[in-house]
Amino acid sequence: MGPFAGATGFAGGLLHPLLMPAHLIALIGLALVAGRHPSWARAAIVAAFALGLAGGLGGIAWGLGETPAGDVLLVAAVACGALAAAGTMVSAWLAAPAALVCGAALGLDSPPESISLREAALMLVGTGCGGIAALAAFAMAAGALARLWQGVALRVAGSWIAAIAILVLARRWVS
Amino acid sequence: LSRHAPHPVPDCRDGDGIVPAIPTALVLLLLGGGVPAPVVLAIVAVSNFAVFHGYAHGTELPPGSDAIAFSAGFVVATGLLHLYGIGLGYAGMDLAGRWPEGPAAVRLIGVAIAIAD
Repeated sequence: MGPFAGATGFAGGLLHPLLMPAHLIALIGLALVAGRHPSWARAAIVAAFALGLAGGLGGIAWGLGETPAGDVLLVAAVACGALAAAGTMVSAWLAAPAALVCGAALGLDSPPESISLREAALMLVGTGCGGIAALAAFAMAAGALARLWQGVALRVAGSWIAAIAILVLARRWVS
Repeated sequence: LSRHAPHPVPDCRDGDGIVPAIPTALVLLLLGGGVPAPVVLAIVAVSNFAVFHGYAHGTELPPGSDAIAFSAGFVVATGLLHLYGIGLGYAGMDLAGRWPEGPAAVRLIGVAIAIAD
């Protein structure tokens, strides 16, 4: 895991979703979608994400092998970014399962590199806390931006996220 | 997207650039003539350009390098250039009435880019 030199254990895990670019763009994309919803639906989306993340991290803890979680995260980033760019508000009934899948993929794509069992467990817990806190904060920030130009900026951000994820996926799938 | 793989789109840098260039040049010539381009044409020009621009720069990523960092940098840099162009366009509208030559300057830029295209 260790993308941040010096940060290990819980702190390393906490920072992990913010320091892994693929995770960060998926989180921001999902937050842009969640931010368009009223607070109760936003909370439901974050809860679904937390559930999926717990499942994904649980899978890692139980020794699940390699999965296509990285690609799933990028596909989620494309979908969320495109929805945000289009200014479309998807139903919370659709957004919550998407958040569940996104959370599970983020968890499965976060294997700790530590050889110490205690350290690895702390990193997984940190990753869970960091991912949920980041999504909640980003979604709250996106929801608070209500002015016209801020809405345009959020849609532009969505299009950038989708573009980045499409480029990376294209590179992976073609080469 | 390797140069040796079958190309899903014509290579924009080997003489086949006419495909992405036509709608862009059309919009710019309209701009140069002082005619606002229809939104549909502008959308076609922008999205068409985006595909070829992404493809052209996507092929530049050296094998083994960090694809996501490259893509993020490329997309952000492109977006900032867009913002620069939008700023120029707004300046050309002379909203504050402080730059009367603005519209003519922007039209000139449009014609120059269309010719270069």
